[in-house]
Amino acid sequence: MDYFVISAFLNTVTSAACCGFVLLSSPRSKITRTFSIFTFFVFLWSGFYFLWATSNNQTDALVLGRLINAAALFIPPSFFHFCCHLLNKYKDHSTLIRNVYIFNFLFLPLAFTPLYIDHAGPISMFPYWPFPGKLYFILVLEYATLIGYSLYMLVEEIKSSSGKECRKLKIIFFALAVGFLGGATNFLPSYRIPVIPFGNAFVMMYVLAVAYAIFKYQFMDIKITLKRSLVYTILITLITLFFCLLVYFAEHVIKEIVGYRSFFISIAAIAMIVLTFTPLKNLIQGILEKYLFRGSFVEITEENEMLRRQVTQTERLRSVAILASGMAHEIKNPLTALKTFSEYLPQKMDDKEFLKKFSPIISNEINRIDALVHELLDFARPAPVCLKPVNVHALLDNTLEFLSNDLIKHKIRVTKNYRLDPLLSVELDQNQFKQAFLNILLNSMEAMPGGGELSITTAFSAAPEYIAIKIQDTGTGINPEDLAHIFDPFFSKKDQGTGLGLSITHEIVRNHRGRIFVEGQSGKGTAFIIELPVLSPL
Amino acid sequence: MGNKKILICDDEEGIRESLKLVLCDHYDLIVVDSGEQALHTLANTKDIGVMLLDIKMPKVNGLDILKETRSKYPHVKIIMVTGYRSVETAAEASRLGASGYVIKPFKSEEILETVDGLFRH
Repeated sequence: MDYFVISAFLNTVTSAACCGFVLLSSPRSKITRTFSIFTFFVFLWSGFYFLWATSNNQTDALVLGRLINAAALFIPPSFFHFCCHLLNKYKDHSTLIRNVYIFNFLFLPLAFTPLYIDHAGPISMFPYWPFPGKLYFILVLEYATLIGYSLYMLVEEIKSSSGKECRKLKIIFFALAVGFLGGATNFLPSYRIPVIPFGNAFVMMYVLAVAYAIFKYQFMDIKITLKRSLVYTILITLITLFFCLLVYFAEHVIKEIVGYRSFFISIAAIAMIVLTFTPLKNLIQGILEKYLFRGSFVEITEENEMLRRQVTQTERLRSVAILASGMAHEIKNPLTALKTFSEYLPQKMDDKEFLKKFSPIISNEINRIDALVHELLDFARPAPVCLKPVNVHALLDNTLEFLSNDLIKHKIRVTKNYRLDPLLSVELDQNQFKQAFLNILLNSMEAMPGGGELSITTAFSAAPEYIAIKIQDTGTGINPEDLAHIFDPFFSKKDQGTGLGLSITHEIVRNHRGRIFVEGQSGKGTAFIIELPVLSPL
Repeated sequence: MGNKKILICDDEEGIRESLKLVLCDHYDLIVVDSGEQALHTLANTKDIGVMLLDIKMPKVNGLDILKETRSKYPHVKIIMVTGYRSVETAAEASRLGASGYVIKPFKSEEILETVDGLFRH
């Protein structure tokens, strides 16, 4: 009996900890939310199981047996719900999920009648096992169908996935098999098959494994939270186990020797817990770091690539926000013409002069708004590299246009010295270079908080077949010791800088087989020089 | 205020035509599309009372034109017409001597009231 008390207690603690930590770590994610709902029902099932295992009369055991199985009723739909979100198939099964939940809630009152759990009686080593009634098959049916279908969906997804995604699903599949098979051993005594349900302990492993899989492969940013939660869950589990064993020892051994239960044992247990808590925590943390979170070379490479994509996208969104702000102002000009035209149209409907003058203007202004919106959408949408001949002057002007209001606001004067042939085009990705120019221009603007001069020069480079674009400001400049690090990721001297802008610009230029240099010194402004091959760079 | 002529300076055709449409029945208008032309017109036309001036223009921006006009032609009242709803820019325009600040897209009454108000004073 002690095994069932301890395993149920550990399952309760583990599922409660997982439910809480996972939900708190990412409360907005549907995956974590549904996982928390699922672990909450596992927590209820385990908690009632623990109370049932410690009950000492038939009446209590029957009530608790019914509560166990009432909670168990919600484990299959909540798990299925979680799986659907995990596999991005919720829309396909939302009706089924909703109907099963509704059915189970409607069925809930019957779960406390003999129709669901008939009576509590002896089998094998259990004096008060809850035996099923006529409607108990509903629970078995839900287990078989929903868990079976979740299993099937996972297998199908594993087949069609690869790499990190595949490993994540494999862990969940393995956990599912172990955990549900472990939990399902409880069905055997219910149908008078004399097999003791020793699989209960696997439920805890299962909850932990799924939580691990979700975090390790899905939410890298909150990996630390999981690590901490795992450390404390295991720590609490070990301490509880240790305390249980000690109390068991006190009750069964010391009592026989000294004739009474010694309070000293509990004091000694608490003292030992206090003394061993920190070293044990460090030990568990070390083991977890070494075996769970270190990751293989391939995993670390994939994680780094994912993080790199995330930070690039973050920086891109920052640029989108700046462009959107510039665009909002830009769009006001065509809107003004449209507004005036619509205001005067009713009274000048028959004025041919008015219609002749405004019709082409309105048509042009609508096209202009359309072009602006498309430009922003094209820029915001992550797209593969698209090389095409681009006029560098037009691209610089276009980027400056979006910043023009800010340049006026910050009293920054722009001087353009375009010395290249106005018809010359360079093959490059327009959106990437817009971002590259934007990052440099923003850097220059931030270096001139009290205003200044921004000079943009284009010319043929000293190197043959290269053009040079020089963006120079009269700002605060760069310290000599910082010059070497200016393009390093996360290098920032600003309070609110991400330190990624110039690093991304550097990467964009390098990907176009170009070069970027920085010149300048503290207090004397900065110049960024980009050199690009005139011929196809890739 | 005796000078009833208005100078409109904006690089956007749509804005120039819109302002012309709103004001042409009430005032004499001179329309130009750059800051340089505005300064040239001011130098050669005596009876301009009000100038409607865009802030964001290529080459010379509206704030620079405002500054120069206020120093050379202090009798000309200037209304800044801009799409930029920025407190700093409005304060800067006011500091440089702008008499009004209209945000695009504007209503015709808003323009008329602002211009009429300046002429009444």
